[in-house]
Amino acid sequence: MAQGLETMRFIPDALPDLNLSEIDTKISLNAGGHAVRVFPIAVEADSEAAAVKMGADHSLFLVKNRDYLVAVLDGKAHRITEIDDYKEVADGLELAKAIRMGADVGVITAGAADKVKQVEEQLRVAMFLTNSKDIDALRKAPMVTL
Amino acid sequence: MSDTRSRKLEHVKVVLGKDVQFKTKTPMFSDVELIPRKAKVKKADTAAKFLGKKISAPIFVSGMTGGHEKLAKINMDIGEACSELGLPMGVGSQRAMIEKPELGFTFDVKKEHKDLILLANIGASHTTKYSLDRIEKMLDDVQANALCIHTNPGQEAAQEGGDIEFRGVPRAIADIAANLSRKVIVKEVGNGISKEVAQRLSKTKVCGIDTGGSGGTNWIAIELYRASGPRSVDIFREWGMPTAQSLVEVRSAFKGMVTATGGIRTAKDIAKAVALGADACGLAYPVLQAQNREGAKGVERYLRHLTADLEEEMLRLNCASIDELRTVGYSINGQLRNILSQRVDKKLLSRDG
Repeated sequence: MAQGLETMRFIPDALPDLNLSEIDTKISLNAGGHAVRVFPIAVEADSEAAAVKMGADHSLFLVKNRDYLVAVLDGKAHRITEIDDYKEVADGLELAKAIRMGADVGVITAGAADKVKQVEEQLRVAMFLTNSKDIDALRKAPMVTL
Repeated sequence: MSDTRSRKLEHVKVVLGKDVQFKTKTPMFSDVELIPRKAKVKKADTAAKFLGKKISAPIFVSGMTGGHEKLAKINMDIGEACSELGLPMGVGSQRAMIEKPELGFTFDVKKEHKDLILLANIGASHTTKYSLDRIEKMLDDVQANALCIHTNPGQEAAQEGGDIEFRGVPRAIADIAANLSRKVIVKEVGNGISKEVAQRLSKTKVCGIDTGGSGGTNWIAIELYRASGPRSVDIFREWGMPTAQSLVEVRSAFKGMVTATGGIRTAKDIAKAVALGADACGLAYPVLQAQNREGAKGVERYLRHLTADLEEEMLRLNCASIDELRTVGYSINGQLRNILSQRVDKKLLSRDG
């Protein structure tokens, strides 16, 4: 698990005023002058070209070695501005913790592109169980350090 | 509706037959130490009060089941034992009898035991679906003394096809509590109630909160077991807040009745819970096991032993009454202390006797 996250535990909220399937898990980013709404999950890619190739299913990519993020729009990779921090995560609950601890996005490893849907589902459940209607609310969800 | 009926039967089979207790979470009462009072006592009286009525001990059987003809005996056996011992009991979700009144007999424990304190039960996600009149009739039909609304977002999220629509539920609960002719208790089913939720409930007419904390039967695990294959929600298996943590948080934020349920197994657990502020403790799984082994007599024997053990524990602590147990000194230590020091006033972490 990403460093420190294993010691963090969300406080459950037993009375969410939410529908699980309608929780807003997206964030707004500026990608090369374009405003985009994406899941806060970036998949590793070897290059911008590789990101574009994967881009049919996934919007956000971490281009390795140079370590910058791109959003794939209309078959092109656009560099992201405004990302302050990202963390490698294994699943959606880790992603939720990383976001709560200040990360803008979570990164999942290359070759795990089909995991994005699973991670998003898990993030959604974590938000439901903490009564977080959107990512801004998740950033303030009660938590303890073990 | 046949889905609900068969699901209820399957739930009991899974609870009794499969490994669906929490694996890594405990109720954390082991981090609580009680400090015996100085003056020796020779007798201890376990009598307590529940919804204004006298009960023989601060113990009740938490609502578990109903809604299938094969499950009626469980409720009837528990009712017989609780009536004999002067202890309250709950029934499982009565959604089944709202939709199919002919299944009402599976919950109708008071037909034979009129003096029993009976807690009716409906799911939180159903409070937006049924009118107040329908819920009122549901209580009338089983002569219930109060209504428990069980909230279980974790279980619903884990259940294939679960009811994940909780929009409007907090408002519906508040409306029911304000308008129902009987008292309303909100309970969790194993993931715990936090101080934030207790604070919100404080602003309503809800009269009681049951912690429903982690450490006992794990309803997320039950739904994961029932699922047709591995699922993304498997990682939430151990989600939840331990019962002792939930109890201290709820007590710090809510002035009404507070009961502790979730992995309560021994008289020491009960004594600690009462000392930390619980008005009573609910048990489910061990009672279900006792009923499965030996019916009503098994339940009665189990609860009688538990009450006797509680009396012994009170003597050890030099508490002659439950009122004295409520004020006995305690110390919260270890990981529970660490967690609670981030959540509540540090004054609540210990008490001089």
